[in-house]
Amino acid sequence: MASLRSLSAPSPFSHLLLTPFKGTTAPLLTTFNRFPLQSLQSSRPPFTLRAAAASVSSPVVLPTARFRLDNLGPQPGSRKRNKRKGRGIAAGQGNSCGFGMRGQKSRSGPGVRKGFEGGQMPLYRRLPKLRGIAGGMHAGLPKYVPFNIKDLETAGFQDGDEVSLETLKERGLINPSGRERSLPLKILGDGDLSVKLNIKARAFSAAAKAKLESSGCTLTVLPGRRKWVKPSVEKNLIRAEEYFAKKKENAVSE
Amino acid sequence: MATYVASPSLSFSSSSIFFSSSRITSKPPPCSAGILNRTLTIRSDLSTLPILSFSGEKVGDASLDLKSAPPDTARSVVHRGIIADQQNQRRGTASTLTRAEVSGGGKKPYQQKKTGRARRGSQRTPLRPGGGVVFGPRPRDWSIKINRKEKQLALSTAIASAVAAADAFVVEDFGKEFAGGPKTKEFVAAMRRWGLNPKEKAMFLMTEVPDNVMLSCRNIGTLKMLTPRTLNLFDILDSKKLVFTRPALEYLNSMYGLDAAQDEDQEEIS
Repeated sequence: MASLRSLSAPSPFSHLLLTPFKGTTAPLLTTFNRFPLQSLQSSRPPFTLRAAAASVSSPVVLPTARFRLDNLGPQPGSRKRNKRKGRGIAAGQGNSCGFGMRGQKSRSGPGVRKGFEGGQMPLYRRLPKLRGIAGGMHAGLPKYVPFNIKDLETAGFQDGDEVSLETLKERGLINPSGRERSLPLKILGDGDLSVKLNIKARAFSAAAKAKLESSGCTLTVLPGRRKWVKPSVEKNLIRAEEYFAKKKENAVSE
Repeated sequence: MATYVASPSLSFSSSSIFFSSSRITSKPPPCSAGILNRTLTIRSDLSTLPILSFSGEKVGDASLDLKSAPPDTARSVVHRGIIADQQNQRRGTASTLTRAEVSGGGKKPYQQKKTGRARRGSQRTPLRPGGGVVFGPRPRDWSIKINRKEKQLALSTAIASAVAAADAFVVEDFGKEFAGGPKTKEFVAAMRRWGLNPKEKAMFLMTEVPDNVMLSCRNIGTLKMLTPRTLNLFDILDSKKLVFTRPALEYLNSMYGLDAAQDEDQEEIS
């Protein structure tokens, strides 16, 4: 370390103690000491970093050397030396290579399997399996992103504002992540609302619908994703719709 | 060299999480650990290059404005670029046979006991000549991934450092000088006029290489004639001098300049 200080210009090290780096710099410096091309150091003038040396107003100080194949290296601290196991007792990982003394775990191979408790009935078999929704059935997963009326009240919406999944996300009131991101919005009926909003959601609970309609909000039920059907089926569906609409018309007119 | 020995020393003093080391000299570091004061801005330094005519006289200046990594990470960015390039060139097809794969050796050479010799179970044990290889090379994928923008930044940082070190210049288009026919001797003479030592490595970047120029220079072992398609980090770092033509300079400015960000989608297509 002392030799290093003497080798390089003192200015890069003067702020060594001011850095936010909390770890010990000793190993980093020793690796630097091993840098193979120090011998060339004396032949060239010390480096002045452009950004460090030149403030915004002063002219840019250009370095006199450039990147070549022989002066590149990884960012300090970005690489770790491999443990060298079984290379002598004094090396630290010598004798038993970190595997301790005797027994199954000291032999080659992975040891006992996960969850194995020495032959005792392991935890994952002692506890009963959960059946149905509790066991992770697909039907048990939420189908909507829920939002309560009381949260609408406190969110600071003005009269006539639009409330939808997008506006709620924009205001940071909900932040769906993972699977929830693809779910539609459902308004639930906890609390009361005093402002008149324009609410767009895929679904409203019955209580929420009654409360919002009584407080004068306009509710829009957004259409869900249409189920894909074969083109031929789609054609038939359209035909059936037309047929029944006509039939209904006839029934009304008669 | 000394310059970059000094530069790691500066980056040693900063951790890899905080990139604010360039500012640290002037003011104390931010004490609140919650706010990371990152100065990860990509620099861009306008530098001028001399333009030389075919006869070696300076006829003007050209500007080159390339993206360049922040000074405390520049060295490692270029390093990552070259490591990725070189490691991805490995084919990883080296292969040896283990004792199980060497043909033969199924039969026990002689019985276990009563011969007075050391017990042996196979003719192809690694201890014998012709036996299998222990822990030999096996086919392996050595490729490593590097982000496209980081790779481009490594290349432009390398060029920018060469330009800043006055190891690069621009030559006027000299394709018509060789219209009469290819002549390596003339090319070497031109290199000398430009101040290039034919014994030292040099890299030419041209957008179009006329046939006669290609024929004139291809026997010069120290010279790399590159086009934008073959431009690579290794040759930039390996060559002592970089030589550009004017269209090549325009290409560099448009591809690796600071305002090249909006063209990225087109780059992917091309």
